[in-house]
Amino acid sequence: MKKVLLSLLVLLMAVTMVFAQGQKESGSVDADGNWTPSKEVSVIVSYAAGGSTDLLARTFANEAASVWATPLVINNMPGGGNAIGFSALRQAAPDGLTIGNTNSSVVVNCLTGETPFVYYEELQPICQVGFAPYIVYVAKDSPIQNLADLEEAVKTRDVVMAANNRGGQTHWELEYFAMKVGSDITAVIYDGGSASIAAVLGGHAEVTVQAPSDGQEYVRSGDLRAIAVLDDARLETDIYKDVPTSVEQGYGWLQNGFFHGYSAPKGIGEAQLKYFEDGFKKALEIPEVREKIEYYGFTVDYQDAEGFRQVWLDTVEQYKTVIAELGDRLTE
Amino acid sequence: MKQLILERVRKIVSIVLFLVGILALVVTLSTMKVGSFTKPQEGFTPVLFSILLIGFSILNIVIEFITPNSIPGELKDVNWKKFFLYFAICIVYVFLVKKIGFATDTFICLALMLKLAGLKGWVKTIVISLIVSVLIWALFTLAMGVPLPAGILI
Amino acid sequence: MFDSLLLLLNGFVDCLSLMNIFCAIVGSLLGSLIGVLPGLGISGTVAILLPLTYGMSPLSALIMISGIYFGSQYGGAITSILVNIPGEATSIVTCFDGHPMAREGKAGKALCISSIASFVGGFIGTLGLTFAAAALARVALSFGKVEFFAIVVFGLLLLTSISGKNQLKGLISVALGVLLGCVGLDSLYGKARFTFGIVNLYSGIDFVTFIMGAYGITELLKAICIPEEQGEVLEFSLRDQFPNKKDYKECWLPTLRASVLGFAVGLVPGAGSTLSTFFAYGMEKGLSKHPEKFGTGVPEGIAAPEAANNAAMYAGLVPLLSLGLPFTSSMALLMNAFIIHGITPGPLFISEHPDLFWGLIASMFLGNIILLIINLPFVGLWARLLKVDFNILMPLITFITFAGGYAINYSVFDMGMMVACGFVGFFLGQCGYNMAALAVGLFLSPTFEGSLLGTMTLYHGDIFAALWDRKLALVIIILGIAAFIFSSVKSSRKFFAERNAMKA
Repeated sequence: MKKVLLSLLVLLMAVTMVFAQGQKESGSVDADGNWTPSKEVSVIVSYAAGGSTDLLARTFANEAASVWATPLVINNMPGGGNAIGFSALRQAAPDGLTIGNTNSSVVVNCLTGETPFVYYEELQPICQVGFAPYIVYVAKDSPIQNLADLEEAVKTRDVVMAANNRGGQTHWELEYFAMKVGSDITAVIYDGGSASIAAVLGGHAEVTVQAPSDGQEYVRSGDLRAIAVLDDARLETDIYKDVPTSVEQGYGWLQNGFFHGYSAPKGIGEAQLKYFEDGFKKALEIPEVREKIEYYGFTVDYQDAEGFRQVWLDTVEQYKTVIAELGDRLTE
Repeated sequence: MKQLILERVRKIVSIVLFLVGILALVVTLSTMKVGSFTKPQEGFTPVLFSILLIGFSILNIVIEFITPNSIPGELKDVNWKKFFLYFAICIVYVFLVKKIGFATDTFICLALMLKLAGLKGWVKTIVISLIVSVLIWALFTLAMGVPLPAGILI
Repeated sequence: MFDSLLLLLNGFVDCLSLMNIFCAIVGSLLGSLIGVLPGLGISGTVAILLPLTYGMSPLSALIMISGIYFGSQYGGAITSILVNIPGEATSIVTCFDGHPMAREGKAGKALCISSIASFVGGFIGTLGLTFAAAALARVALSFGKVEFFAIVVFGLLLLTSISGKNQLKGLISVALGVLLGCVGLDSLYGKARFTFGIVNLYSGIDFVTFIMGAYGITELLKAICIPEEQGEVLEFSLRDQFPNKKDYKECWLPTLRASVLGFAVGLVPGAGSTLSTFFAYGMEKGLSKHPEKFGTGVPEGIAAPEAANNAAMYAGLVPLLSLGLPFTSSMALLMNAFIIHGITPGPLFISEHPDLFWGLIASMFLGNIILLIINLPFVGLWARLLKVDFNILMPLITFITFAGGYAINYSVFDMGMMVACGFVGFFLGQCGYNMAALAVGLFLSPTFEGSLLGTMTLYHGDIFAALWDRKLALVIIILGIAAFIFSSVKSSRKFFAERNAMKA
């Protein structure tokens, strides 16, 4: 009896050892240096589920499921103006089983606010997949029809804007705009895009800057009016094709957009990096994926790891200039 | 005697809360920007609430010290030996969970707790804790897909 | 009105397929299960289930996922009643009377009352959604920063008045709770607060982690270490496991009132369903002929908050369905379910997809009935759980809680945080501090801060001008202060009376 028990125990231990071992391996590399993950890859998205960033990440997980050896699983970690998600990404093991979505905040937040670390230096870019301009929206009954009207309004009265987080991208454009035209604007911070849009719909704020995808349903229903695309080229979708750009309206200095891309913890292996670079590139060839990306107001724009890093560095330069001009306006 | 200890605990807790308020205020003022009423910064809410906590605590300390005896039945007799023993098991449990794995750790600590709680018979204790720890493990990892911590064992 | 009925009828025709009923049952069962298991929130479960729904029709998928939502609301009350551990903010108030009733050996009755009240709340909530979703969306939008500020202050003041004996300790608990809520990177500025360089603290103190420590671990320590708490569950008689005529008589009006109130407060975006439970409980306590018995296990004290939070949950769907605006993370996930199936909820959703909207509404009526049917038979089973000696039961529950605490963020640090919260919670609870107020302070801290700072920015630091400008907010704040002063005067009178009695 004792012997049976003992051997059972040994067997149990052996099984658990094997089990524990199996969990530690992140994947395997074949003779050609192609890496295959051993289990699903977690994608940290530093926004709540349902926003445009999240939905795009999910497009790569779902519509492009065929290009990945193991499924991508979206892990939403919102809060702290991306800091929570990015911190989690940096802390994750660089074994290729965790990657993260990195949008423009990876640069902007480090320059406008306090961050636990310098994101764009301590994360490893994988690739950029798309780019989108920001759009200025007002409520449907607002007298403001274009940027010239907005300039007039900012100069003559107290205009309230709704921003998604302080110092973030939906905040500084209009602060910059107000400063450039020699006036001031009241910025009220709401917790994310939904709340900002609700504030404009409910008449608590007059103007807000949002991503094309976040505002499109309200433009379609007529509740919001898009007055300017902050870029030099118009968007091609049906909803936005008639919205003039800031360049057309003579405010060429007000251009801002955001990129959508992916990054990994620093120190990820060459083979793992290549797996993701190739995977995203292949995903972008799938019509449904391109369609979704364009649906969310992005232009498909693939950059590999090095190209993406260059985008980061260029953005750093651009923002440093703007932020130096804005000074205290962003933080107060 | 027992009543005396409880009285003392009550007074100490009221003072500790006051000190927490002071600490929060000091940390806020030394590490954050408070801003002003028109342009509040990230330290505004912490300053406001640490001041509130300090204010309420001072009043509370006064009341706790002038009240001669607490209302009977409000403070309940505590078996402190058991309290610290269970608390220690919890700490050890958390400390070990990543090293020896969730299921094993749960099995050991649960058996210990059950035995301390007066469950009679070792066989019964072991069987119950074995079943429960395996069940919890299976429910979370297998059914719900939560990878519970695994160490040298599961 | 007639159009709505016709469309609803159509919705019933759409949703009454075998597949859809199956989905509703699976969703409800899963929801009840995760409601009972700590740490497994709606988000995690829905995230796991979403991929499984790809092959289904959009309606079936939505029925299943909304089943999980409403099921979890039912399940959340079970742990509150049985072991005094609320799984989420909306079931904190259910503990006040639910657990004392269970301790009297009437756990089954408490569970029945909560199920039936949830059913009524859900039914009235669905009715509200059926007839007024589009109109009510505008009401939800009229809530600005000032109104938010007012209603959160009202909620916190009311909570210190309706629970706990000592208002001052209640206020201390709220202040401490809000401070704890400040730990981590704040959502407005992205700055680290009270993190002391510990990276794990950057994500703050998770509300559920806190609850599992300050309620779960504390209950363990209490059950084991306080002789008076032991053997308190009185004898268990089958007759007491179901509500009797007297209970129904006492509960029907409070349940209806609380459902209507819950639906109204639930329209407040974000924190509505949690706040609605305080308001409903406070209202019943105020209207009751025996307010002093609240907190000792009165049936209205269970029925009111449960009816309110269920009705509020349906009201929370209003901004999502009629405007496409999700205000809580669980609503955002539900929105995701729409989007994955190719539908983007927005202002045009109801007019462009009437079949889906009405099918979903019809499924909610159906789901509610299913939930009641699958929950009632379990009542006896759950109630029997309390026959197990607490010395044995509590350790078992503690380790389930540990697994749940880990599951929130897959973090061992959180397990440590739970133990710390349990230790602190034990002392604070023993010394008469208000744990419910502390937990809710922590939960509402970000909402409170956002609305306070927003109000100050909008009105250049002048809160009084803000309140004067927004009359609704002014009324709410005055009500809150009045309720607080009224009950402070009452309790301090009692305090001095008892003190004098003891001296004499």
